[in-house]
Amino acid sequence: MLNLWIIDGFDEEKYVYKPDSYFRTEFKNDWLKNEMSRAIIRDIEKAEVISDRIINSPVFGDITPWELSSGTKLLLILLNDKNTEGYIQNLSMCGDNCAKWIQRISEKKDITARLGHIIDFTDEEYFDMLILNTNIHVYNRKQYVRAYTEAEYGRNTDY
Amino acid sequence: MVGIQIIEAKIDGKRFKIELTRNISVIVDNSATGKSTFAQGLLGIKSGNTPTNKIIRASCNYVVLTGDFFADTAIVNSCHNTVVIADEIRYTTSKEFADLIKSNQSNYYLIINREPLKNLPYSIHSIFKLKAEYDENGIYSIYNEEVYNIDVDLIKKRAHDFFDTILVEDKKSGYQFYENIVEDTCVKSSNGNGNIISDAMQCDSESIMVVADGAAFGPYIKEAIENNISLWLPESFEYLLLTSDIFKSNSKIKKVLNNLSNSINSDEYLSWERFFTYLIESETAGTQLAYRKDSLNKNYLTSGNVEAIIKNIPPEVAELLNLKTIR
Repeated sequence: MLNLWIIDGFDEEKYVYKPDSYFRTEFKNDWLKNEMSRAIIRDIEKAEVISDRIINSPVFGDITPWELSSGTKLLLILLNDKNTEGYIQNLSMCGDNCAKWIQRISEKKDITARLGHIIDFTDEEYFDMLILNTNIHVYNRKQYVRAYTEAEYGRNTDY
Repeated sequence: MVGIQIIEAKIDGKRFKIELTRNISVIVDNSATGKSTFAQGLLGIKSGNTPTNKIIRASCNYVVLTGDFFADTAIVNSCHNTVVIADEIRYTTSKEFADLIKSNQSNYYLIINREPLKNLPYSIHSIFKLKAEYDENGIYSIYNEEVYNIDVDLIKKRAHDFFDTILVEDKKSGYQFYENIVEDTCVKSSNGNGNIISDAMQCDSESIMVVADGAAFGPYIKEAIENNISLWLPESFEYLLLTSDIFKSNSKIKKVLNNLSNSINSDEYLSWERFFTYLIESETAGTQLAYRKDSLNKNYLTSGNVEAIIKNIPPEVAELLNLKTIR
């Protein structure tokens, strides 16, 4: 399941705004071994994992995991990091092309994260999210957009 | 600074060309499209650490911010007529950053951030994604392209023929105009673009049409579209008047409107709709059509002038707005 903080309300001390530094220190060699990691890199980066630390990109040539995009790094953290429960990662580092992967990972494990924009979650994937700001459970895209908007505008208006 | 600014660079074997028409531009995009490669590549060129990367063409100076607000404040304060680039920096959504931009308006700003920057007025036409393709020489080329490149600035989500309510951003002249020309439809003012989403959500969003200034609606457009709110987003109400036949014989207005990027100085106007207000006020001062934003001059409501303005509204929008003279 995906537990979402919309914009704010979470514990700032546990918040990771950008995943790059976290990824640099926490990456483990076995992260690229599992098939979902490889599928994420294939889909988002259009690149193939060659070994634990080498990825071949048709545009960039051979690159290391540290040169992947911030969105891909964040997906790999959500999927592989054992400490994910202890930190609030920022899903606004992910583009819309990462959304379905966030949903697939949240089917495998519970994730608690922060979101600062309406990302393109799809009804074609697993959909079980709890908006932590308002304690509203959502099961499809329409409910999610409505709950996101309520969580955001409920803060400052009578709505 | 005025004019279209271009930065073209060769970075990691790829050719980047970024073209900025207005002073505040935002890149929102999928992951792994080259946003950070571009920004960090430009930073590397500045520092001289990457000799194979180079600037091909830059119409002005540029700087890339570090993420340290204290240090970046000093950088921005020392810049003039410069493109300032911020790559996924947390403080770019803050009021403090907006205030920093407002204190340094001679610069253009290119902000990479998927989160809406609600403290800044930027246009729906200043939201970009990066597009990549191989050019005729086989070089991988990446350039910016509008996300909301839409015909007649109309985004229609409702399948029916008309709306129960028209929600106008403007609380004065624009509101007074629509209230006078719309029939059998309730016209409400949201008193600023920051209230539009919450006001629209309080109604049945599918029965409402929002009319707002596209020149400053950038921070809200995605949320409005996602919530199925129908939108018509001309640059501004004043732009609608300026481009109507009312002013067709005014050669100065015509000249300015044909070359907006070179006519609007970011030093004086943070966003274009403020310039349009200045232009119409200055061009009509002392005439029968003297324009005041806080109260619509009744001479704009004569049948001839209303007809001229409505003629300037795209027909598909005019029909949806249920205008008196259309029926």
